[in-house]
Amino acid sequence: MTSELSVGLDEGKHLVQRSHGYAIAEFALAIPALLIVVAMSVSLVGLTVTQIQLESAAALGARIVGRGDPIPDSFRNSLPEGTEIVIEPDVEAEVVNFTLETTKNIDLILVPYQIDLTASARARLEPVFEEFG
Amino acid sequence: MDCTTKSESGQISILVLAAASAFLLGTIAIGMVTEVLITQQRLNAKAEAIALAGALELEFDQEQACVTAQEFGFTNFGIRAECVSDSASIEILLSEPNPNRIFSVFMPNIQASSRAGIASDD
Repeated sequence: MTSELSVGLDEGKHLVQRSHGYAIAEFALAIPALLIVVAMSVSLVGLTVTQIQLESAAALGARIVGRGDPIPDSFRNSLPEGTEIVIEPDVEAEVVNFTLETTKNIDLILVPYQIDLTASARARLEPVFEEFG
Repeated sequence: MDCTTKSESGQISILVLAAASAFLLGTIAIGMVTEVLITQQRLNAKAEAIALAGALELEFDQEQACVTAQEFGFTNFGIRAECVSDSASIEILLSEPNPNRIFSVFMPNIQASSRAGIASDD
């Protein structure tokens, strides 16, 4: 009887010992989920960086336009790719609205997604004195 | 039955869950900091615009510079600006409530200041 029990226990112990490789298989299954979360985090951080960049550029652009200067190429080149510039001067109120609009692609692993980012700033139109002579 | 045998089942899942939670919490924290940063940036831009609007008036009527700046701020941004001016410059101080609930405990208001003067003839 003892020998029969020991045979059964030995067999069970053998099965339990086989579970040592389970962690690797589990890791292989879980790593894509972790990668998706990391990709989402990185994409969101990229979005915030672009938004901060747009806000800063909009304030600068409003000041340039309010001064009556043309927008320099260096300013356009510093904007994220595909950024649209919208300038709305209000002569009666003597202000100018300067808006930057861009679309940011978030390329998640299987789901491409686009988010529209907008930043606007307002500045007073400065009087432009023409030089005579 | 052998009770001393340890199973690895579930260990990696817990590790991955902890790592994913840490990443999500980190992302949320970055988002909250960004919200405050963007609000600060917008307020800086408003302060700058108001100060420049006041500085335009400074050259012609120094006493009216602050009034012009405050009117400009209220009309265009709906914000009341504190203003100090002298013969050569105007200083604007703006304050807004912190939009983030968590950070507003430590920093209830976001402030921005800007100083502008009369442009030189050079």
